[in-house]
Amino acid sequence: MTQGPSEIYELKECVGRGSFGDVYRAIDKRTCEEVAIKIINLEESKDDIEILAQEIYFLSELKSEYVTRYLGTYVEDVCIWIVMEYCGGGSCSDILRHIPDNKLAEHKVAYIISGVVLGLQYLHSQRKIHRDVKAANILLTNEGDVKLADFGVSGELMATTKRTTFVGTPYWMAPEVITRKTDGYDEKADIWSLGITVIELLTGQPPYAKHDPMKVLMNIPFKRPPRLQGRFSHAARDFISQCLNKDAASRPSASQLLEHKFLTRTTWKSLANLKREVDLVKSIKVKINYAKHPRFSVVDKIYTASVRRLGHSWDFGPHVLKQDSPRSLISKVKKVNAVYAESDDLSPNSENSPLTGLISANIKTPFTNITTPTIKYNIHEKDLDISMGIYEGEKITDNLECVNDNELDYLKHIILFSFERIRARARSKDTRVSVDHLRDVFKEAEKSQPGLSEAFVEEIYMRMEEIRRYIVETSM
Amino acid sequence: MAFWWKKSPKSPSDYAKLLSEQLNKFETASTADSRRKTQDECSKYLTGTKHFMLGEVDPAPSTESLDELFGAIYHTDLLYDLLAHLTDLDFEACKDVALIFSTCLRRSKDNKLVTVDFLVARPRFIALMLRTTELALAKSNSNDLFLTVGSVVLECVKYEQLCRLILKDQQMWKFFDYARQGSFEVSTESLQILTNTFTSHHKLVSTEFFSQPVLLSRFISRLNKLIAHGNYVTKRQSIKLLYNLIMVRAYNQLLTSYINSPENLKLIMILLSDRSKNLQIGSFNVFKVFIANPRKSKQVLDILIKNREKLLQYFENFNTDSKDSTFLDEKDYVSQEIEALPRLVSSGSEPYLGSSPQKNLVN
Repeated sequence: MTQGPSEIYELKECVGRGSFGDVYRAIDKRTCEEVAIKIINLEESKDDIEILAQEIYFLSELKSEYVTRYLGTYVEDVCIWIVMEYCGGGSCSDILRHIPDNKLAEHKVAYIISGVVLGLQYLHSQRKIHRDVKAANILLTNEGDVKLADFGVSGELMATTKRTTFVGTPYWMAPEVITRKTDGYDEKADIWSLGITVIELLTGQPPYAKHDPMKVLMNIPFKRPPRLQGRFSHAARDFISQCLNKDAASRPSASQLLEHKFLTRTTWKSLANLKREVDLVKSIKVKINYAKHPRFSVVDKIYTASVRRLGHSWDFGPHVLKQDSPRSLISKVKKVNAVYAESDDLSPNSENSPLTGLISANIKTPFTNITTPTIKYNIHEKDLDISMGIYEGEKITDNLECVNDNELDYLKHIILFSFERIRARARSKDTRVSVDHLRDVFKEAEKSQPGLSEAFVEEIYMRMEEIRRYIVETSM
Repeated sequence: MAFWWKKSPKSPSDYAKLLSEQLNKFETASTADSRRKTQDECSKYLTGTKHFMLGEVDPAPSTESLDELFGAIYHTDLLYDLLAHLTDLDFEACKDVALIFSTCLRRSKDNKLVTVDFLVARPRFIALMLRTTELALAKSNSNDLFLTVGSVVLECVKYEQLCRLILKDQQMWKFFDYARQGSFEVSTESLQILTNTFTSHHKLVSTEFFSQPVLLSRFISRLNKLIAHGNYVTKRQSIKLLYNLIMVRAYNQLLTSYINSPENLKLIMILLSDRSKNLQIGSFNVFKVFIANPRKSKQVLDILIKNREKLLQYFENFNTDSKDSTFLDEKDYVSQEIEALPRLVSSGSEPYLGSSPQKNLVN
């Protein structure tokens, strides 16, 4: 592979962020087609490359029009670029967020779900489980076609990866995923999540969305299956109740669901299309300038040969090389490189080899302060889901720049920041008043007992970790 | 599972026979149309065979009927034909082939791995398999095909007798080239194949491969080439492979040979000064073994002594925010060892930031 991905693709705005990396819209320069590119910085990722590669192979095995298509992977600098089909219409949860009423009519939902069930049918025929079916993972193309997305690379699907045991997002999780200890679960777990997703699309939220996700998680196995409340057709209610059967074996398969009258009502098929919703959401996104702030800059390469970085101060970044040490070392071993160099088949990267760039050992990284547990970046998208349910924050990283540069201020950067976000989520004025009150009490307390915020944050963090670990262990 | 088999095979052995017949039709299929038809037919028979083999048919197949099926597979030499025509098959059919292979390989009867024994007796199969990896690369869907054949290779590597055949085949060396030049999929899969081939059966590799000086030195030079010239991902995977190999007790020949060569030390030191922290740590793991060697060769010692100050300075700032106590201990140990090296009293007083790199060249 001689061509670097940046020669083939032109990156546009960042459209998504996750623990695994940033997602960009991009243009294939050869065909002018839009693609989505997931860029994973391997220098910062804790995942084994082997596991990541397995997940990419897994993606490459999926070829169905109802599943986002994998197009290829490239290495550039210390990143891999995973190129996928682009779904310009965004996710169904985007649609829910932006349309009036925040809910979809039954025939639109049936249209979406038909696509999802076809995707699941394909996936299940390949002996694969999605494990995180929900509106946010159902994408729409510019034309309003439905595609099942977001598996594989985030580690959700592979039977071999360590993360497989406890995955998904609480509100959508099947009871057996939460409780089973030894014999695990099968593709029927997706059918449960599908049922929850139908409720989500019809009502705007999954059941118990207002409750604490951890509590919901603990409760799902013990409660009766949720039901669809309100005025809906018998077909819709029946579809949901069949999916939400606590006995996994009794749930219908994807193929069987395709025969269900909720999806087969012929009059709906011709009517339903999501083109209008897609266009609406797209125009809104343009208006609010939806692009996200990537976690890792694509421009900051560690193997750049730019001389202007010479003399840069090295007090930033976890790995600081003394200026003279590597340089003299390098010049010394330059000859060796010649020994290994073969004039005819130098790999493209040898030009980028550390030798040319000499001493710019300045890895720009946000991980400066990893000694404190609270800033270990457990703010991945998945975790966000767990802690926030359907609320998707837009600006979680905005304030992180300052955290890098200055000392971390627990009160300011975490406590007050969180209160601000909670306040933004509050729906009524009363709630906001309570939030403000609590925030002020906090400020007071920190003032009289400095360090209290730090202790508080650490305790919460440790407790959350403990609970998460507990769940992971018990669900294995 | 819904099963849409039209012409139901009359007996289990029919699965193998019909499939074998269809595969042979590729030889005569001249038009694109007839090829596609053959492709479709093969896909159907493959799916059917797969379901039968995995017991996903109703009623579940009896032990006798499975015996009959496997017997027919061996008799018709189906596995060989499947490989030979793999590049003719469509995407989903290739995946079925891979699944059928792994199922066949696991097949055991009377405590004997029947398929493995069968293939060992016909070494042309392994030869074809390895050649197919190369053929796959010439196709337009090379990544998919390579991953499929690669997965078959990985399955075979698991069995010592088959791994022996792979080690003996010249084609094996090609994986080093693929690892360096191939696409992401081809490159990572090739490294995985190399890793598994050389780490799954220690005794075999030690007594039949590394014991031969020619093979040993060739292996080292190939691996070094990956470490020196691969892209970032290849470098990381190959330095890790190197470390894993030299830590295998049975591979003492490899370890001794590697850590006594000054060229290898230089290579590892280049990587130590790489700007990637992961590569630094990867190469540190190898570097420490050079240091820990109680009987360092003179040339190795020379390089270390010459770089004493620089190395000390380097390790002072090396990965200082690590909290891994094992790593910190090792780093301390390495620093102490370097500290204990004789100080070089040189009259030519090497300047640290020599303007000309030539001045600092190793003699």
